[in-house]
Amino acid sequence: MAVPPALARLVDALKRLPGVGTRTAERLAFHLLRAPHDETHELAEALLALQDAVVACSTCHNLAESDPCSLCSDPDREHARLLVVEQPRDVTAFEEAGWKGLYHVLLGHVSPLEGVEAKDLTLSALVDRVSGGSVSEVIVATNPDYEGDATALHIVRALDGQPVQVSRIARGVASGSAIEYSNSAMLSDALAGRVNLEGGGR
Amino acid sequence: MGRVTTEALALRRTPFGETSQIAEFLTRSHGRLSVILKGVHRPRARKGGGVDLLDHSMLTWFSRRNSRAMPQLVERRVLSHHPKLRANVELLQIGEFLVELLRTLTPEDQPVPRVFDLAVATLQALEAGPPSQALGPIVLAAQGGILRLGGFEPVLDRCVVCERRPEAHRMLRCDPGRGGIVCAGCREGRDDSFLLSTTAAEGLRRLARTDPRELEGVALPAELENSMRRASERLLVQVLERQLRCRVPLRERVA
Repeated sequence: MAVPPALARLVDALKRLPGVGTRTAERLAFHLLRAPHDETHELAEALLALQDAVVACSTCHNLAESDPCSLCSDPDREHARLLVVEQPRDVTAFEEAGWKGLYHVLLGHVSPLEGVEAKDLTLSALVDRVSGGSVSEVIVATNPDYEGDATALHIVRALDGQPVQVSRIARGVASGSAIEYSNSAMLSDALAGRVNLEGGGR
Repeated sequence: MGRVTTEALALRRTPFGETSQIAEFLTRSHGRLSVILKGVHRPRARKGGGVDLLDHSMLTWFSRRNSRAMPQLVERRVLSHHPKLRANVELLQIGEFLVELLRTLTPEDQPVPRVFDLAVATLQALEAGPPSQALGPIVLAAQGGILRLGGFEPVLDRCVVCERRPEAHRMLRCDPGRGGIVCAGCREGRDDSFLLSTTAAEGLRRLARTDPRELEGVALPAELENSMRRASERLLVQVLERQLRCRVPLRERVA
């Protein structure tokens, strides 16, 4: 069966998306073909608006619709505390967790195996922000994995000598999990990062 | 269908769906192979959490004869996560260099237990927190050993053409393109050879046969180490026909 050129073009475009193969692209294309006119128009408009409306905040490098972004320009947030994350999606996760300070998005992690070096990240922008003097605490929230550890060490090196307190988020046993499901690395991390219980013991 | 349990080092991992991973391991009994870890990111997953680079684990999976499907991991017990290595930038870079070497120089689905043991020994040597001057010999031992066990060792104790052994305390010509030392009589016009002392050549040969764990207290003279490192890098490029992404993460030492 000859596929109409417009449909073939859509399938080709969808196939370029990550995780979408030919079958899935065809399924999505046929779904859109049968969908109400308003729905497809809304999707098309959202796609077109994406590139025009979304910019990178020149302060925190998060994705936003304005520069500076709504988080950086919010006077109610704690501007002296900076949470350093790898990706914009990490900002969403910490927002859901209730973080009230500011962010700095590195736009990646150090990984020579993937061809990413420290200079490819927004590390120098972080140093500029910190040396401005308005930041008193930097909390490194890179992933607790090999690349995240390397990135955290590069951040510590870059901020060496700056008048800020630098810490890293705790790691170990995940909330909602159980000791028996945790591996030795999680447990040793949890032991190393143990916290005092107020009111207990001496 | 058989149950397989073996030690493994993680060389690569990719997210698979929301909660799963596909990971490539260098296993002791089955060489380099990829497995699926289903639901590994769920809080109550029984496979010991997500796989991280260079995790040393004991893996169990079921293998099906004549099946080309990727094996699915049923159990994973982490033996070492290398916490000291992960707290030092230089050691982390050496770890990544080791990962790239193993990915590049080990075959898929073919057991290379001696290479596996050497990789584990290298990680143990690094995890022991050696002084910085011992890092060079450890890296050279790992690289030389992996090349030797993989059948890529350059000939450094005799001329690769006429097999004549060089005199001691002489400068030799090492030609990576011809696979090692070439004596003056066997050189053919212009080549890509470089000068290498007999001491450096012998040092590289010996390190390729040394357990990295025995090198904790070893420090080479800076000039000798620098020349050995430069030579080993050129010999590696010849074998791989390209530079590694993770260059040998050691700075030139100052005498």
